[in-house]
Amino acid sequence: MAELALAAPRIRPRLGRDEWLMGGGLLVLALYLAVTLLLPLALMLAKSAQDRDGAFVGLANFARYFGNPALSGTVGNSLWVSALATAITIALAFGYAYALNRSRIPFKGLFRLVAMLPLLAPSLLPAIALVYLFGNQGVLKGWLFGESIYGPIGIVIGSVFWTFPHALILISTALGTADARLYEASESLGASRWRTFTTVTLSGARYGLISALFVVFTLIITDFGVPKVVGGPFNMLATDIYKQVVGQQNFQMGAVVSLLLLLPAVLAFFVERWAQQRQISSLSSRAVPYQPKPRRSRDRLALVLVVTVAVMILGVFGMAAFASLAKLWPYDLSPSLRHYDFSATDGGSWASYGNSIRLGLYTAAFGSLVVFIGAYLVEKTRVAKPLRTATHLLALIPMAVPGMVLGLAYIFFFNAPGNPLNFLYGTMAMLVLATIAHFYTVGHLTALTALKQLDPEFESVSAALKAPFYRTFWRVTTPLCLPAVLDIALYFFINAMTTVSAVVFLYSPDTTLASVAVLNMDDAGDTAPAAAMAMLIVVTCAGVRLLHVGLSRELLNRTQVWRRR
Amino acid sequence: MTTPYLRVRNVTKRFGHFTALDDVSIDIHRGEFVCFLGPSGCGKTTLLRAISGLDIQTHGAVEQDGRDISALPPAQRDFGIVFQSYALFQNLTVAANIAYGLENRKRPKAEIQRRVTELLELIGLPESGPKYPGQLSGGQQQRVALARALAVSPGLLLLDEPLSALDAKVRAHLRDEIKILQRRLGITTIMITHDQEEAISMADRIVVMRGGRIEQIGAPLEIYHRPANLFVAEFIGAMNLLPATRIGYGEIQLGSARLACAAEGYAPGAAVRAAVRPEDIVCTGKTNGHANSLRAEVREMEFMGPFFWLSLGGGELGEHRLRAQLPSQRARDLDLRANDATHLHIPAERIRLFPHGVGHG
Amino acid sequence: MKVATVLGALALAGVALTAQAKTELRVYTAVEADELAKFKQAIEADNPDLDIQWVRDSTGIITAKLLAEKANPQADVVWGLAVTSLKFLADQDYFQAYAPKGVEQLEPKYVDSAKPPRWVGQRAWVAALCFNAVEAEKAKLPQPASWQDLLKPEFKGKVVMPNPSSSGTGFLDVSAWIQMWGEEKAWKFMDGLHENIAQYTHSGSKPCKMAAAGEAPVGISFAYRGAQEKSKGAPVEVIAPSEGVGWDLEAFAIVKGTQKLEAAQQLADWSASRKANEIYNEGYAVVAMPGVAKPVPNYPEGIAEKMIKNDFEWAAKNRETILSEWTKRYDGKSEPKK
Repeated sequence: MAELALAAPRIRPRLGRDEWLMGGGLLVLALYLAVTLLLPLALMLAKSAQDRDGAFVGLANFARYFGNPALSGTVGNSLWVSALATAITIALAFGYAYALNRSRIPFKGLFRLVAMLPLLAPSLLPAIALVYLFGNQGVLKGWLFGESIYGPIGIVIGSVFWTFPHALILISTALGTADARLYEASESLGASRWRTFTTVTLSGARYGLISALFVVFTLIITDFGVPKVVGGPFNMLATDIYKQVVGQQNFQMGAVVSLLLLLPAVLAFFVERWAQQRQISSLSSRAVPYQPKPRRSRDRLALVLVVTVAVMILGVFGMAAFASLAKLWPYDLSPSLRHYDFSATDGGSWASYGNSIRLGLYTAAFGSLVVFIGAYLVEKTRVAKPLRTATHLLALIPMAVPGMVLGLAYIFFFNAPGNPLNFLYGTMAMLVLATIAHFYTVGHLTALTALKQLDPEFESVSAALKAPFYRTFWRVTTPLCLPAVLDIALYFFINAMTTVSAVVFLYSPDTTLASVAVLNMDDAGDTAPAAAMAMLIVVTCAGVRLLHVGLSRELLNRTQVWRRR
Repeated sequence: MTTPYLRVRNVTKRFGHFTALDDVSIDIHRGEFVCFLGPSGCGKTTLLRAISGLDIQTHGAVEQDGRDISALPPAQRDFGIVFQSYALFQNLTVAANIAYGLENRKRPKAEIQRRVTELLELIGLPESGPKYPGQLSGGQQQRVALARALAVSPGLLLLDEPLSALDAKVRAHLRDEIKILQRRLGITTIMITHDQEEAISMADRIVVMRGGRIEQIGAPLEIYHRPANLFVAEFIGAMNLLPATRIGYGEIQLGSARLACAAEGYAPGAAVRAAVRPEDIVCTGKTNGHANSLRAEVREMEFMGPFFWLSLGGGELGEHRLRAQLPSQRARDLDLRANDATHLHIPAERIRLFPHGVGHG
Repeated sequence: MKVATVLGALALAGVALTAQAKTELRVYTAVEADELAKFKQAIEADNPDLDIQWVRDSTGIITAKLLAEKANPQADVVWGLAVTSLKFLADQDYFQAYAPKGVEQLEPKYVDSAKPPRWVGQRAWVAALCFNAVEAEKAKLPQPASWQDLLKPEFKGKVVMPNPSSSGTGFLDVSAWIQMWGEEKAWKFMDGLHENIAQYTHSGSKPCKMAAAGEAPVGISFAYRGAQEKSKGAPVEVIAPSEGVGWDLEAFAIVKGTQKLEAAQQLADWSASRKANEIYNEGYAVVAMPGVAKPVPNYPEGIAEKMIKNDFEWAAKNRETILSEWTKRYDGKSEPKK
């Protein structure tokens, strides 16, 4: 019998229109990701083993990098500064998350909101604010006891500021899913508070903490905004790439540093994936949500911590806003809008702001379209399993690729002589492609999560009803996932507005960007206009965030009547 | 003999090294209601997905209405499908859900309208057209799903555990409705279930599956009363399985009792398993009015409403345990209580024999 | 017949369109951002058919960019770039020699000696110290009068200087010190100065802007920037150190192989004109056309006399060696300075 079955010819499933279209779509997506991601990165790898004239030199560039103590010293710098800043961020974020989830402090919603504010600003903003707060003319200069803000201190404080919400989101999620039954069990076993804290709270949140640890470390070590502004003479890997590429146009050496930067990022990526899976599997569907009981000492401590952090965050924004409006810091503090007239500064003036808005809108529109359709194809295509897996893996790569590395890879790829896509070089289209590729993963995962929440049999039903998949996609899947699609669009917009790292290598005179303008203005010593542009970005992002809230509500009202019972 | 409507021939499905379906063949006739029954992982869902084309088999053929559909994608086959999860389009109204397949066929609007109204009445929800699925109960939603599947008049209706997500009362009710509807429309139907009661009460024929193979195909009565093997015997309904010994033609020894047994086969002296349904055991109390009887004591009595579950042991049963169903009225007549001794009559034709030592599932 | 008429009309329309269309010139420049709008306006007013697209960055970066693009140049014209950089590029055959109209009226030492010249000078920008008097008072710092004054211990951590590998201003300082004092003494001076430096900045303007904002009491920068900050009301003194000040010449050149040679030459003609020189003079005290320059407000007195005898030839030839030596000595300090 078994032999008979084996001898029978294997069935080769015939493909219908849906299968051809979806498989084809998947192939197009895979090619898209290959072109906008894989090929540029591969080319960059190759460049690191070439000299300026393009001859293969093996590891000579690496040898030269490590042979120069001034350059290779930055590896150590980057490591210890990132480690220190990560430790502080995680500690603060844990405390803040603990207060929000496990205490009875008032105004939790407000505190959560304040903690998320740094997401709306480029990482350059806290650095600029730090100059005003703790620089030689800083209002709080005395707090540093004579130490200079230009250097590791500034980098650490600035990094903590902008990575804080990222850590908070991850840790808060981990703490928010606590199982009350464990606390009851621990209490009934007579465990001390401290023991309960270490065995239940910390252990329950450990994967969230590990996840946050690696994510934050990667964010910091690959960030270039903060060290660029307040690093002073203190070199970090990310600023090294910038110096090599922009300052000396030494692209090969930039590629070498990029690869070094890729290492921690790739490691963090795998650890994060591992921790995420553990976190999910440790969640039981029967868990009972934990409701903290009032306890005065804990609640008071939590409030002090939360208020302190919130005040610091608001202080940084307030300082940047104030500096942008002061006529001549520090000698004439009368209010003036003159720093908002960007015509006499580097960076491309108000046109940059317009370009950034355009980049944000294009990225949001085109990016959420590609990401959502892509996630749909990866999740729902019945055929071409290996292609689905490959495409999904491609979509995860950007999370492990620092923006500067991607930007540099884009230069190599799109500016390569003979590349038929060369016409894109220096255009807005290339900035859009780069930004989508840079932030692809989070959008992809968000879309996948939303799609997985839908009934997995919609496509089977629709096939049985002989409805083409695209009809069901348009009439059912997309409307049901609309909130997620809007979230993805917002994520793309805000990141397109605030990012510096990838685009700093890619803008041209016609496509200068606001975030890059902040950098260039600061570079030229125009710190106040830089603060003004940064504030402009913040206000824009906040406005779009509000618009998003309103739009979501309106759309929900109009198209999602079915949600009401 | 008419040719079958659906022929499944030597279908095998492998996922890597794992064989989910192993050389499965079934014929299903036009208008038949067939249930695939088995524990989870038995391959019933895999078989349904092969028939629908949602997950095409690795080997073997599927023919529907004389057409070889083995390799066709689902959209090129002719079936309607209903899932456990309803899979209703939550953002579309009930009417739009039902009309979904019709609109796709470019039928005139008025005709679609008419058909939707007709189906809404058929499922007993004439007023629910403008509502959204979220506003309906689970049972109502599943009826809408059924109407949506039936709207395009498919030749084959596939039901994938359609009742499993519903609570017991609704389930029993909908069970009857589906059956009535199926009879009325005469549509060939395959239903997957792990609930044997559901299968027995609804199906014309049941396909019992285990480990990717078919254990038995037959009408519910046949499956129930003449299980082909130990697995089917145990899986369908309640069954006492007691070790016994064949002692000459037409007799077995069970405990210290000798019982006549109509089952054939097995040489004298062979160790066997005797299978008896609890409802086939007749409790006669202190009187012993039947030839084929044994004595035992009532160990426990569990009141179930219309009947008692009796747990019996001791007496001629010795260490063996037997479960019997005693109608409440008869318990009253006999005034039976726990620890009472009683005679048990087991009709010879109600004892089935299976080889001893065959593990079960 | 009819077809011919239509075609003719179309052809005429086409001619009219091309006549109206502006030629876009991609011009690489290191001129300060706050002057560019003014120049663009003036150039386009006199040459309505030109559309100037500036690509502005620091001297070092523009130079590196031009080098990187050597195989496939993106610029049509290089305009207002340090002549040390232009010479270096000219020696690599980067430029199209061209004698702009009226070039003979310019000071010959500010024009390439080749005939026709590969590059033409515009104006000189001169090093200067920006000194914040208010902060100096607070910190009890004496006003420096010479470069050597900056080595005094009280200036430790108080001086900011541009990084010569990215900033043209930074390079002209280093080049001037070496030319004035010779290699050995100049490097010794820089070693000492390094001890007092708080930060090396990316741009040449930033030290002066930092001085203007009180972030650093002393910024090594250039006279134009100092004068601008002073005019804006910042409490800075612009000082020309007594030993002499380095300077470099801003010059322009046409990139070889440009598709828009005619437009580029038009820009070159304008840039050598009297009118252009008058505009150059608005911020800079020394311009290429003799007899044009008028005193510039807030410039240090006698700065023109303190300008060293600058050997561009030498500076251009030694640029890479000097920069790599400088980078080896002072760049990438792993410890922040107080």
